[in-house]
Amino acid sequence: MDGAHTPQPTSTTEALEHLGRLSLRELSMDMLLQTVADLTRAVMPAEPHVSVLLLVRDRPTTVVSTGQLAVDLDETQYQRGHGPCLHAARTGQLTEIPDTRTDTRWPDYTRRAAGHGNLSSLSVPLLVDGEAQVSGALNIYAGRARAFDADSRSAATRIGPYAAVAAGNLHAYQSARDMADNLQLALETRAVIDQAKGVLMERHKLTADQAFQLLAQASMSGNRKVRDIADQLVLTGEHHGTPPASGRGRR
Amino acid sequence: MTTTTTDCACPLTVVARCLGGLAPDSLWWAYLECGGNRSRADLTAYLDGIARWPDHEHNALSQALNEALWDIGSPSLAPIRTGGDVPR
Repeated sequence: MDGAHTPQPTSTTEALEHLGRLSLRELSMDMLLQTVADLTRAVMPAEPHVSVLLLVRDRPTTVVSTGQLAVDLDETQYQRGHGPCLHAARTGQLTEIPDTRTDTRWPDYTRRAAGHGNLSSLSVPLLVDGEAQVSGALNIYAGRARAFDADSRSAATRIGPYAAVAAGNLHAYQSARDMADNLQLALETRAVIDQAKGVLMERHKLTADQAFQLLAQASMSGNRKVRDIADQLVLTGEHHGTPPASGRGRR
Repeated sequence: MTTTTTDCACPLTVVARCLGGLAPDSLWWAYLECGGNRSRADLTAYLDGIARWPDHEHNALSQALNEALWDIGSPSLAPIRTGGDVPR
């Protein structure tokens, strides 16, 4: 994604005013987050690369970026399990590397970053949902050392809450979609298993629990998932299990 | 009419949970797919040994645990209970 449709503000105030006017009715959630990244890039010094990472139960994902370099630098940190962005997301602290060539906190990462041409970075923590262990960071990677002064740190910190709200909405939306997908799968599987149980109950005069035991027994003896056993029974009427003796003759 | 017994999770069920390696959310979804009806919190309480479950709920969970074990090349461990539901 790029920022082709994002206006180029000349000041932080202008960027914040633009962010304040954005509406979820007009933009998808990932487009909103992309706009935050694009505006951040526009108002920060040294034409940096920007990304937003989301940390869900300590699993990081880059949700938007202004270019491949930011994605690569994020992923370099994910591979190592540490770095300035992960530190900001985990601790809630604004994390700056003034010069990747001399910083000693994450030497294996900073060597790699310097090799990519990233000489300084600023990571703004995003407080998304502490209870659900969801946090994030707005990451700004500059090509020159000591790119950030007090004004740019302040500007990035003021943009942070907008990114946090957008990232929180995106996460909530993705969670709801995941739940809907899982529910649909569970309902489909249960329906097939229930139909198969019904067939066995009628055929062998079993209770519902005994019918499930019969499906589970066939599943275990054939190392096939119970859904596959149920599918086959419903589609073909074939079942190769032995009904429990106690089930025969149910009234 | 049937009678249904309840019991705590047996050691093999707990071991199957540990070896299967499913995240708690994934295990709960797999258990629901197998016909389970209890909440995530109930599932945790059962596996932690502080709740008793009827046979049919345990059996749905056992099936889900065993299928997770097959996915990683291990044999079934969680037992299916057969004694509690006796038709008259």
